[in-house]
Amino acid sequence: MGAVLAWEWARARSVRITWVLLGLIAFILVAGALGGLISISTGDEVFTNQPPGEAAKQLAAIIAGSTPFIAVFQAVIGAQSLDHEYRFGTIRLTVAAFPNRGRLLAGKALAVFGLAGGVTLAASVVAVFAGALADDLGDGLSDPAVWRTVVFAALVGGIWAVIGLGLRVLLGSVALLAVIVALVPLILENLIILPLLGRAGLSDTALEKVQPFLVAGSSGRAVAWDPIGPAPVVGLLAFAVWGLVAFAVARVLFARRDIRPD
Amino acid sequence: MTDVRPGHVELHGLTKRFGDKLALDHASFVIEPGKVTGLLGPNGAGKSTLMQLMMGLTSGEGTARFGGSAYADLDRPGRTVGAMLDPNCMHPKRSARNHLVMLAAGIGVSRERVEDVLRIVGLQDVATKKAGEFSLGMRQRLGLASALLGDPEFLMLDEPANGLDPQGVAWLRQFLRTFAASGRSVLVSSHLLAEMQMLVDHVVVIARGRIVADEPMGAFLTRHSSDQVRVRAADRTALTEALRAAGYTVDDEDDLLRVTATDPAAVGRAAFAAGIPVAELYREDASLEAVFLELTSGEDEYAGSQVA
Repeated sequence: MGAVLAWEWARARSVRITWVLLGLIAFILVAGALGGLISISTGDEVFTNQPPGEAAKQLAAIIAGSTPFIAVFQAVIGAQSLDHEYRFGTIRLTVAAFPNRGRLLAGKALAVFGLAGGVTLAASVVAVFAGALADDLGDGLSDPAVWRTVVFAALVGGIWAVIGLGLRVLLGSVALLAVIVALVPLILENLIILPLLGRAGLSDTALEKVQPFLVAGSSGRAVAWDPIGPAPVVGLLAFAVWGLVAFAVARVLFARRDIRPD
Repeated sequence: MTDVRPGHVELHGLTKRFGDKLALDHASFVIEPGKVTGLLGPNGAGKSTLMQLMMGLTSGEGTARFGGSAYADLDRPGRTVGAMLDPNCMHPKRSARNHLVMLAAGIGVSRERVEDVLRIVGLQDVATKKAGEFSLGMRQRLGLASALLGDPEFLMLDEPANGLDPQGVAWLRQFLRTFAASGRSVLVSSHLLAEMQMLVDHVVVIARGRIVADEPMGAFLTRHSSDQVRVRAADRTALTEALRAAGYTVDDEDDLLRVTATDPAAVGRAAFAAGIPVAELYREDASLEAVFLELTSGEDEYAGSQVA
């Protein structure tokens, strides 16, 4: 597994798109926090009306709120891990070097999980500490919920990357994958799956209970601050199951298919 | 009994179907250490499919054993098998050095080895250049560098001379001969038949997925050599009559007579006995190209039609 990770790291760091995507994730997270800081310093009532320490939680909430926007980039990081290989033919070299395709895909999944999760974690920590520059954030830094959000946001980011990798195997297209990931919460879950379940006879209360366990619903629940619905750790576990499902399907397909560049 | 010598490769019953089409039909042969084996065949004959099947890149039937082990069972396959199946297998924005560094990480070889193979293939001065800016010949060299990275026992190269200039082809020939002479083995496919004739020790001919010849190059050429002797004399008419009188079949072609005979000396003696001075006399050897065309006639899937 170490050799696959070393290969993946050498592959990822030698192409510009990796850095562009990681930079975009970091930018969105840090820029969101800086926007929050500016709101605090200019007396935005959303922040200044909070008791001392609450603003740190608000910054963590901003990070949580950013996760749907950065999910596309995190998924694309995962997808690029295979897409470049198929597009430029290096997939033959990769599979030749690691003929155990299950282990190869697991290594790739671990690598993209680490890349996307790592940069999300680093940028979120930077964002929260940047928030500590504001006078009334100090107490908030000791709130476990703030750090839970930071860590769970990173784990969610890593899982999105694994889902992206799985969808690339399934769909064979990064563009289609990006569209799907972007539309999962809006179109697939809210406008298709939930209405279909409703027509199938599920009550509104039941639908509310189902929604946090769907793909986007569970990823949102993992970093949620409101007390309504399952605990964040339940959301994270549900989302991890989706990640495992995507990986398992991709593993079966990847092992069966002939290796042919696009 | 399985032969576990390093560089010994044994293929048995390799078969590949694409839907109803049989792309490779129970291909079996052995690649011996210390030899360069040539894989010849027209377009679409199954050469690339065979190489991909050997490495498990495509699914099919049959077995390929490298020193007694299946490819998938090799610990660090890049150290046993070095392959170049397509010179375009590289990210165009990645430098030659970074491309090799990536491969080195997987094969488990040092950065020094990367510099070594860059030197071996003559790309050390353009190592920081992006692969997308390389000519086909340079990509071939980079592909060869990739194959050599793990210092393998067996080299497998698909059309490695494509795009190389004459000096490059001569260098490649010398390199592969030296590689094989060190006790390792080489499988090389090519459609450059004259080049193959100069390079390979053993030839395997494949047509429409079937192995139609598998023997040492010398024996292959001898077996398929023509029974033709070419002879030239100032008085062609007198020579023709003398040879026909001696029992030979003679065709008058251009400046040279074509005599059906296996022994040029006998033809020379017949001319001498008739008192006809001979200016030129030689046995017409079969060229690999002629034999190849004979063996695979009608087998080229993508043959063009004759221009009227």
